[in-house]
Amino acid sequence: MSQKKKNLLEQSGQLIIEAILLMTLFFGIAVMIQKQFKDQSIISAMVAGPWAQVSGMISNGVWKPETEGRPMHPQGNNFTREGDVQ
Amino acid sequence: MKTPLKNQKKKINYKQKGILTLDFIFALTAVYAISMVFILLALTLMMSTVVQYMSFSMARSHISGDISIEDQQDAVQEKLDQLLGTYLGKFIKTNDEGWFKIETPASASDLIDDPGWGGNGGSERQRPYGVGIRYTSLILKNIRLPLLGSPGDQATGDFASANIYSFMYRQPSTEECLSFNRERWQIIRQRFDGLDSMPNILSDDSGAQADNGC
Repeated sequence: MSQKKKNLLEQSGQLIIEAILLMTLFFGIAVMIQKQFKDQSIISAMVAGPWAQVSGMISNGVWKPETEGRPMHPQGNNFTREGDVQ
Repeated sequence: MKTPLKNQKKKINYKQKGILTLDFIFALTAVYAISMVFILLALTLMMSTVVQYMSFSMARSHISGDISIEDQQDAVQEKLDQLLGTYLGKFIKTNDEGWFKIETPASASDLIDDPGWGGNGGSERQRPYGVGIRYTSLILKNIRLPLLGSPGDQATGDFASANIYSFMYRQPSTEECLSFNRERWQIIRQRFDGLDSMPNILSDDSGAQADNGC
């Protein structure tokens, strides 16, 4: 076998090339997904978007923004001292 | 001795275990970030119920009869200090150093006359008194998550904050009862002939107190 043919059959180093390519690919995908999440504020929209409703529920016990739900606050002024509904 | 080409290919196939590690690191980071959002949200909601109890407990301290209205108001602060002196104080603070922050910006009773509450329009007897607490979840507001950023990035308004109110009907203080009885006695004395000549038993130095308050 000639020396030239022998070099072509030598495959040492191929693995590292493939590993680098795959790492680049995976890293690129990860960065792309991260960028999408940050640009579109997906997590912020998921949590902060409905916060007005959540805040209203914490404040007044109804699924409405706080100012809208105030008249429905259970201890606000819906009941008289004697317990009658106003 | 040289390895045959066929055996070398087989050897290469066996050496791809690192790919899984890379994938695993990325997936683990993403799962951690998403899980953390839900954990923080759950903690925020859980602690909001604790703060609701705190406001109710403070309001309950406020309504109990005392010497004066100021003493009744002081009881609210004493109750708050007492509650923050327990293990709750490790998580809930009145500054930005804890996981959760509470503030008491205004008396909740003042809000009753706000048209947004419907307005009670009734007498002092039917006027609810209470405590208002502004609750902020700092751990949810300030967290920075890998890959996802911050939940509050695009938030408008008061993200991770809520106002918590508790109202009750205040019992009259001793001073209010004495004042009420004095005024009533004055009216009785003026209304009926002959009572003017009787000694004024409800002077500023003394007063009658009904068994069941006033």
